[in-house]
Amino acid sequence: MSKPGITTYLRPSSLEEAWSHVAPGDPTLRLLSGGADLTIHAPPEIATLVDVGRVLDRTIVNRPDGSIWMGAMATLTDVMEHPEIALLGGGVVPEMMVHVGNPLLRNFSTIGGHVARGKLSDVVPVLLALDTRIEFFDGEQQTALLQEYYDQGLHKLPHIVTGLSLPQLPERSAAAFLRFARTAFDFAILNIACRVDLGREQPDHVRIVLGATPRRSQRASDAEAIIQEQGLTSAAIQEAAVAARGEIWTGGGWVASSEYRSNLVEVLTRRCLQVVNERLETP
Amino acid sequence: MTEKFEVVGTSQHRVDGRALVTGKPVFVDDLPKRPGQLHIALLTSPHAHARIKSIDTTKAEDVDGVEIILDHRNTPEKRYTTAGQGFPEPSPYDARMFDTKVRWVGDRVAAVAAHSLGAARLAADLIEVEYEVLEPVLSIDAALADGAPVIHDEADALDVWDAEQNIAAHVVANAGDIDLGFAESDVVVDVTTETQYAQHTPIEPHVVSSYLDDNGRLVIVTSTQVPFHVRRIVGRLLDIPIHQIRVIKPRIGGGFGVKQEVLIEDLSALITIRTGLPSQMVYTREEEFISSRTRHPMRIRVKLGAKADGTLHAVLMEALSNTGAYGTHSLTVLSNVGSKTLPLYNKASHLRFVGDAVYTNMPVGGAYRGYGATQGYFTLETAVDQLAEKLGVDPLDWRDQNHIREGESSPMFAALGEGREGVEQTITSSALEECIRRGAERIDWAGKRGDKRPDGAWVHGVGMSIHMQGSGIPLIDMAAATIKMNDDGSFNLLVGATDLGTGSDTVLGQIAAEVLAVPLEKIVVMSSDTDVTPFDVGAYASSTTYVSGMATQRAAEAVKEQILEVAAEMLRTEVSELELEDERVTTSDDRTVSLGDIGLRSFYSENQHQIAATRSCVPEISPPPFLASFCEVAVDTETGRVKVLNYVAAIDCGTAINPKLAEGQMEGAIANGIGYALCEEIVFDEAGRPKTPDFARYKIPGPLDLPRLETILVESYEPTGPMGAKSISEIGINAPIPTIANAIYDATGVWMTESPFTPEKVWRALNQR
Amino acid sequence: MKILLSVNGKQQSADVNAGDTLLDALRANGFTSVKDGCANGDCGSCAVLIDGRAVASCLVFAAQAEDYQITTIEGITGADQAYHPLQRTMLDAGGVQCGYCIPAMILTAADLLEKNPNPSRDEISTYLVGNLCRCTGYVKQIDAIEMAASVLRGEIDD
Repeated sequence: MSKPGITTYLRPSSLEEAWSHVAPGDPTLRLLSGGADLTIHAPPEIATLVDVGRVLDRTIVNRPDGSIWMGAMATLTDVMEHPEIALLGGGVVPEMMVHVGNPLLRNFSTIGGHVARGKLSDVVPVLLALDTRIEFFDGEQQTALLQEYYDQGLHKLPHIVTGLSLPQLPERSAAAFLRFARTAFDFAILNIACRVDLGREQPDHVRIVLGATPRRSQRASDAEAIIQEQGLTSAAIQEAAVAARGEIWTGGGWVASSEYRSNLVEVLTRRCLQVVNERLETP
Repeated sequence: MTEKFEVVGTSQHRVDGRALVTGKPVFVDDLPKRPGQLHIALLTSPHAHARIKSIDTTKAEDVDGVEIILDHRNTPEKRYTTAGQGFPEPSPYDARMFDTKVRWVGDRVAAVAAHSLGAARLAADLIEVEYEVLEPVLSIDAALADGAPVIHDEADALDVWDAEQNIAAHVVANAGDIDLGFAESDVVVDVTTETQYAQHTPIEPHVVSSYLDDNGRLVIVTSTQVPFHVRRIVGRLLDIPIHQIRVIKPRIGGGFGVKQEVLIEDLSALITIRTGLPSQMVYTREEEFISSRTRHPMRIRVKLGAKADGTLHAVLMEALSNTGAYGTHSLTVLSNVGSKTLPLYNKASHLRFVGDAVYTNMPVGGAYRGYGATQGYFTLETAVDQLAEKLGVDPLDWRDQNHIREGESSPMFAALGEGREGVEQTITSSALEECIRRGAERIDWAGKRGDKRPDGAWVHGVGMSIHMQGSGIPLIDMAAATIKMNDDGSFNLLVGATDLGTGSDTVLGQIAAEVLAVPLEKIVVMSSDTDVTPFDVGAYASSTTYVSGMATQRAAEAVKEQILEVAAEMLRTEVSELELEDERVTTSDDRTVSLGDIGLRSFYSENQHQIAATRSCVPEISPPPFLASFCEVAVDTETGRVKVLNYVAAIDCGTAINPKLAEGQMEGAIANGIGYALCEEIVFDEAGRPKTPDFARYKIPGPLDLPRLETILVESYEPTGPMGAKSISEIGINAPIPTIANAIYDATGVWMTESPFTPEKVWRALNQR
Repeated sequence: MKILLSVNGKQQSADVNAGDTLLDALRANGFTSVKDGCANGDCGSCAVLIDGRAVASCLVFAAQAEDYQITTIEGITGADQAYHPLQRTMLDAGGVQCGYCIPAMILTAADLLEKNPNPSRDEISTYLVGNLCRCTGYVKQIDAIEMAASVLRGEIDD
């Protein structure tokens, strides 16, 4: 359905030109990359679209330091189907991405647009668990950990996301993603991304991130600490799951009550860590 | 038993298939826009219950492009029903085109017609309405409570059962002596179930386009299941003679009952009449969810009494139906809760059905595939499983022992019809025993029943249910067909019958082709144009194949007689010496003329006359299709998730005129039923506003949410049906709730009594044990 | 504003508002085969191919679409209205009931088969998860896509 409030469509041909529109921080202006969010959810005050489709990069590139760089215009399908990204952590990215919307959305929605939005996302918990870095332009080219980008509110200031990079994972590292929804094509009632890197004797890097509760992603740091100390034994996994349940705030709503979501926190944490453990055990 | 057919019984391409797969502009909103066409936007009530104190449209009228605004001040006051039913409609006349009171969030307040949709919407937002907000009644219990606000307090409503008590309709039917029946029973179970608000969600929303033709007649092109009822109801409402109205149904994108309603045609018609301009209205998806029609939520109690040997002896069914703000279809859906369920187990001699359809300030229940039987079978078929358990017998064997057979009857046929007394009938065809046997084998009932096969947190179970429906409404439904012959030996088949995607044009064409001994391409089917096609009540009550099909068969037989008479002239012999086969008429000594020869001669050469016939059908009985439904589920005991692993539906629809179309009807109905069982639900806030008015929040099943559905067509032969056919379109949707509920019990020992069986609900039920 | 749309290999000028979606623009410019079922990105009946990829056209602004090759069902129907294998198999298999979701579903399936010429039923279901159908339960549509895949691989005759 047409958005009658949108009256101006701009298509800059350079990053600097795009920035000149964004810099003043006009609240009625939005960047357009894929478009899916704005065609449906543009707030009524939005009057101007700045299409960065010709300005930003769509490629996905292996960098010399072993990281994988995704241009902000890479579609969710591009990310899902990329062979190297698919190997990360045992396949956690396509495992997650197949649940994001549906192909008709993924074939055009961009990773940059999705991350800049950040809410109600299945993508963000996984990217956070993988210690993703974000690159953006705010007059100068900047880079930050995605976690900082959100924690420090950088996503709310005027900027243009230019790319994301997935760092190389250590050799003995695995990740997994699970989500729970009513049907296959549905926003998540709860999702979880876990990642464990094995150091010489015990894990030295544990990330457990839960999302859609309905706030943005939360880290289950108590649960992480348990795995960090005890490794991925059955007992530790169960203890971590219970700890996650205790520390993750769950809201209630018409789709699911807080109590049920908390139950899912425990169940999904346990199951996700079990998958990570299986992936670490298989060469 | 079944004859050998040439065209019937084959899965021909649909006659409208080419247009659909190549994307031709055949739906209402695809048709070329007429010059000056107005767009219509609706203003609806934000309150569940309120009086309109004043409406000020001055600002709205000033919006550039606005042509006319309708509200209660300038539209007819007469009461009517929007129900697309035959006359006199068995629904209360409790609706006004625009009322001075609004009775649900989404009720009509005003309609704006403007030269662009944007202008119409902008203007609608500028209409200023002052409401006196009244206490809303948001549940059956609230509506029936002492001192509840009266929702229909108007003086001029007709046929409301008890407006003061908020009861739109009331039905009672008895056979035998129910108290005696229970007193004589050795084993009794008592089960109450509740079903939820759900919506049909045809992918094409309601859409209508009206214009005045060159002679000033009103033409309404609309996505409807009931073109003739639309013509009559709009005519009566707007005081336009029927002969001044033409209603055309082009291709429509699904209906499932929600288009058995005169929902928006009146708006477009009146706007066109008043302005002289063409007008169009398309419902938004949100309006589809909130301001159209829904499934009736119901609370139903079934008490069963049986003898120690398992014979069913007494059945009590008490139904409370939430009919929402208006009583359209309230009486008939309520009646069907009992009339399509209770005859199934005819061994009981003591039966009682009592039901009330209750008004609430909530969305309006209407016709929805299954039509009350869907809700009733939940209670009945889970009560049957509970009874079997109490008797210590396999529920399959219990059903085998107690279900109705060919040649048998039930007192409930006569006692309970659609909103009135029913019609006595005996079952003239049934393959239910074979349906049960084959379905049970396919699902591996014997191997899997009672075997939880635990796998981590998952447990498994199988469940079953059996069903009957009907084929049309006996003595009330009428369908007609006209067939005329062309000079190349082809035929035009004109039927009022309404193809809503069901494939009825194709099925009826196949019936005609069979009788007239031609391939299907030689039957040119035209349907649902009130100027051209003869009358048909429309697509509901599973009537098209059986009733419209019989009218088609009769018309074809009459045309065949005329063909043989002409051939007899041409071949200088008696009709009794002739056979019509393979597009030719041949004598016993092999002299022959083609249908083309006959057609040509009848137009141009000798004894010229139009070979044609119109025939009607009013069915005397409603021979039920029968269904045995089985499924296997896995339940995740930690999350409550229910996965349906396999689903088998063994269906007796008599002769399947087009097997793939018949299977398609079953598969679609079951898919919809699975959604109703597991995930579909309209959720409301405390003020009666729906929180789920889009596909993002209201989930219908997609391909990953459905099991492999296997349909087994088990043929019987219905002697009163065209080529032995009965109906098929509705019955499938009634099965998944009870089949799945019974399977969940087998897996977990927990009875689910409230649909949908969402993961959280199942989890809570598991944890309450 | 005026934009240039490339649809089915032909360019045409279209007059659009900045806030119009590609769905709006296509329907207003003669491509009524692209359906509007929800305008919310949820039903898939508006799907078209954009540079060969199936995309919900209600999720794309019309003005954005200028650089792309758009394909609608008319673009895969053959010369002289000959059927693409997917069109034929949809009819053969009984996968068409009301037909409203069909053009979009065929286009989405065409995209899938281009990328994955031998998909399993699960893979077909996964790719079609955004194409809602209320009539069929998807069974025969998936049958049809499997059959068309066979034809396109040359295993059976069209």
